This record gives sequence, C-alpha cells and structure tokens, in this order.
Amino acid sequence: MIIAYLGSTVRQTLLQPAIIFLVILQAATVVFFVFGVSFEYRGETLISISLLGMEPLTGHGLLIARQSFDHFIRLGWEVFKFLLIIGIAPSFVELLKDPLLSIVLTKKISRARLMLMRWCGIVLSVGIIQALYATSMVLVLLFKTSVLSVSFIIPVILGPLAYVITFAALACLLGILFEHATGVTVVVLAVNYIGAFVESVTQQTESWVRLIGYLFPPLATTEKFFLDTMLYGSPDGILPERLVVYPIAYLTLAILLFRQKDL
Amino acid sequence: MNDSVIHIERLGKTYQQGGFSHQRIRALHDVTLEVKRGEIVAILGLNGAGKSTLVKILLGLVRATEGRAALFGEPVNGNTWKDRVGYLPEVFRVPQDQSATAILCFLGAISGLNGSRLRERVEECLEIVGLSNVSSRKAKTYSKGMILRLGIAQAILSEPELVFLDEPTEGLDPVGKVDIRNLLMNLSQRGITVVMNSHLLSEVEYVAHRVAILHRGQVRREGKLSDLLPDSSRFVVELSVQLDLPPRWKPVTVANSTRCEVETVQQLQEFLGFLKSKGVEPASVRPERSTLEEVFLKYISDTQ
Repeated sequence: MIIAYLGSTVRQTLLQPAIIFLVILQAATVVFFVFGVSFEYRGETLISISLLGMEPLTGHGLLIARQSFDHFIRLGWEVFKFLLIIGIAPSFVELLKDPLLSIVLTKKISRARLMLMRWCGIVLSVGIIQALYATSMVLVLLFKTSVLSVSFIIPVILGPLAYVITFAALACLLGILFEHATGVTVVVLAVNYIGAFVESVTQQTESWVRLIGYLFPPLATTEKFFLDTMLYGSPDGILPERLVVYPIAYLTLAILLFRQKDL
Repeated sequence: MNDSVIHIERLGKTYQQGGFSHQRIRALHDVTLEVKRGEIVAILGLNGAGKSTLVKILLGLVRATEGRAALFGEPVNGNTWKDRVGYLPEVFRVPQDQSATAILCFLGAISGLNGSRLRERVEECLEIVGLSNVSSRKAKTYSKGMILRLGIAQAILSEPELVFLDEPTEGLDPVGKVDIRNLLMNLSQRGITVVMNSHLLSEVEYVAHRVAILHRGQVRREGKLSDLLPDSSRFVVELSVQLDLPPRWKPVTVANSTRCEVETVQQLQEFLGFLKSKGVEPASVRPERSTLEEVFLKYISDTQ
C-alpha cells in the first residue's frame, strides 16, 4: 500500500512541467561539463580552464572564469529553488482535488498517513533527482579535476533536501488551508524570499525584533551552509538545529486540519 | 449474529460556510436508518436532498454534527470497517493518462491486494463490468458509460461486504443499465449489501429491496418497496367495444376498444352495473398499482 502510494506521488511529482524543466537543465549542465569544460592542474593548483574548445584561460582570464563559475552556481541555485517551489507547491492542492482521493480514503489508510506519504513522496522525488545530479556532477568533476572528494556529494544532496523538506511541509499546510494552487505557490515563493531577508536582518540585532526571524524557517543560514560547501569545499558553521522544527510544526498543523476537513 | 450492517441514529450535518457570511446550511437532520446484510437499499431524493452527504458521513469523508452512525457495529470515524467497504462516488473521475488496468491495480494495491491475487481480481472485475477488451486503453478514450463501469469495477475490487454506489446508472445506455441492474442483484444474492443513491426511480424500482425517501435532509418515508407501493383503490376497466360513456369514467377509445378508469370500489360497482344495463361485458378489470414515481412525488410534495 505504501509503495503504491509513494510510487504514484513520485510519478506525479516527476511529471510536473517545472520539475521536468529542472531535470533538463541539470542534464544540460552535466553535458556541458562533460564536453564543454577542460581543467588543467599543476599539483592541486588550477592553472587553466578551457571552455567549449576555445583557447585555455589563464592568469586574469582564469580569475574571471572562476568568478563566473561562482555566479553560475548562485544563479543555478536560485533557478533550482524557483523551479522546485513551482513544481512542488501545488502538490497538496492537487491531493485535495485528486479524483481518487475520496476512494483512497475509504481504504484502510488514515488521512495523516496519506498526507505524510504525499510529503515523503515529494521529498523522495527531489532526493532522487538531486542524488542523480549530484553524483553525475561530482563524478564528472572528479574525473576532470582529480582534486574533488566524493564526500562532496553529500552536501550537494542535503542542501536542496533541507529546502524541499521545509517547502513541501509549508506547501502542505497552505494547501489544506487555502486549496488554491497559485496562491500556495505565491506564498511559498514569498516565504523563500522574504524569509531569507527577514532572517538576515533580524540576525544583526539583539532586541525583540530578533523574534520576528523565528516566524520563518532559517533558510538563509541553510543556503549559506550549502553554497559555502559548493563554492569553497567546506561549510562555514553548521546547519541550524531549529530547521527541523518548522517542517514538523507545519506538518502537524496540516494533519490536524486535514483530519477535520469535509471532503 | 447481528445482521445490521449500517446503523444510523438521529444523524445530522450542518455545513458552515466560510467567508464573512458564516451562513449555516443544514444538509441532514434527524436521519435514522438501519440496513441489514444482503439488502439493496436505495436512497431517493432530489438534487441537494442530502443523499451524497449521508453516504460521505458513513464513509468518514464528512463529519456528522449530530447523532451517530456505525458500519458493522463500529463507529464510522474509526478504521476497522474500511477493508469491508466499496464506494463509487457521485462524480467518478480518473487520471486521464492511465488505463483501466493501471487505475484498478493502483486502487487494489491501496486496498491491500498484491501479486497474482491483485491481477486476478482486476481481470475479474473488468470482465464483470464488460471492460476487458478496452482495459489497456487510456481513460481519456473512454465514454461516460465506460468510466462509470470502471467506477463500479473499483468499488467491488476488494470483494467488499458493503458497497455504496452514488448514482450508479447515471449516464449509462439502456444495455448498460440492465447490466448494472443484473450486477447489483448478483451482488445481493452473494450476501453483499448495496446502498445506492439515485433519482432514477424506474431503475430503483427494478432492484431495490428497500427505499428511503430523503427530502431536504430528512427521511420522509422508508420501507420495503411492497409497503411503499400499495395497490391503489383505482381500477382500469377495458371494453372490447366502442361505447359512448360519460366523462366521469375517463373513457379513452382506441380502435375498437375503450379504456376507463374508476377511483373507488364503490364507483367500480356502479360502473359495472351501468355496463350490465347496456348489455356490455368488460374485457378486463384490474387494479392499478401506484408507481414509485407517484409515491416519491407524493412524499416530497406532502412535506414541501
């Protein structure tokens, strides 16, 4: 029963146009790194990069190329988050509008379990996508640069997963409350952008304003942890512990509301 | 052994509208009903009478605001009865890009069937509803009637003891209606209890053992069909001759015969005396039975 429902959710999530587009972009990135980029090292020092078979960039050109890679990773991360939110935010509204929902709920499956399986299915889908992407990218870079460690895969998977776990839980709660796919997507996008801003502002102060920051999940800190790992090979600090509180709170509220809902 | 499959006691449901109006809509009020094993019970009512709300409460999809209901002796908000029930919702929609087999396999797996048992049941159910030859086609190519047949197939997939069918013959062609009617009777013969919502009275008359007439959220009349459809006191007298009769006998002349209607036994005796005085023997005299439609209209108009 669990496998059937998880399988169905994974299938539905992977067939979302935004998620398909995300996978295409990731595949294009991997292909670009396989065929379009060459690195030359002396010992562990990068001395030149060649793009699309052009003349290798060294010295100042290499510096600019490295900065461009940083921008590419930051831009890629923003695109990833945007597509991810668009892809997964409507999922719980779709659950409520699923033509088979009323039938599924007459089977031996509780509403709480159904909702958690939906959430797990979404997290699993993104986990699968990200695991494939991270593994391919790290293997390509490992082969091409020979300085990268395989352990680099873990943060590349965990960073986005932390986001998915939080966003999917928030989308779940908002979906049950509003039953409106566009509205939920807009609110989750807003929480992503406003939340990161509020978090960075409130961290600067010691006054009660700091408490406002607790209304939002610590996504800016999580993002920094993830991007530091991507860009500099190791994170500055650790993932904030309170990150786990938000998805648990969102899911608990969502389950309580869903159990009371007339379908 | 307790034969009661459904027990409903003073059940009520009031919907609270959202927004600023806080309007309250009373969908069900003081509904009491008992359904026994193997019965086919039809819940009749106009659109908005509360039929679907009643079924949804019984299935735990909607919460009752008053009274209580139990399936197989267990409260409906529990989980214990869930593997014993099948359900066809009023609006049965399916994922358009999946085949009948895929949809049934998914719902079968959710019901706890697996492996060869699941495949067997899917094939059996598709055979029963006559979709075997189109089972691999995507649902978007199905007609309304085929979707409904698929809905019935999924409702009986896990071999339930109780099946709820919300408008099971709506949209079916005459052949399909006969098939479903036969299927319902077959289920009943196998001891499966069927509760069907309908406003197609002619269909209900063929299959239901008992009928509950629901109007504005209340059960107006409930009982066996034979109790609900008493022989009326009206009689139809047919004559094999053309005869000039006073309008009070409601004569209708067709070709060389005349059909008359009388309202009471007294009027019948009077009419037969009149015919005797004219030297005419009636070809037939028979009581006219009320139709379910007449009974239904009577109960809902009495309580308007």
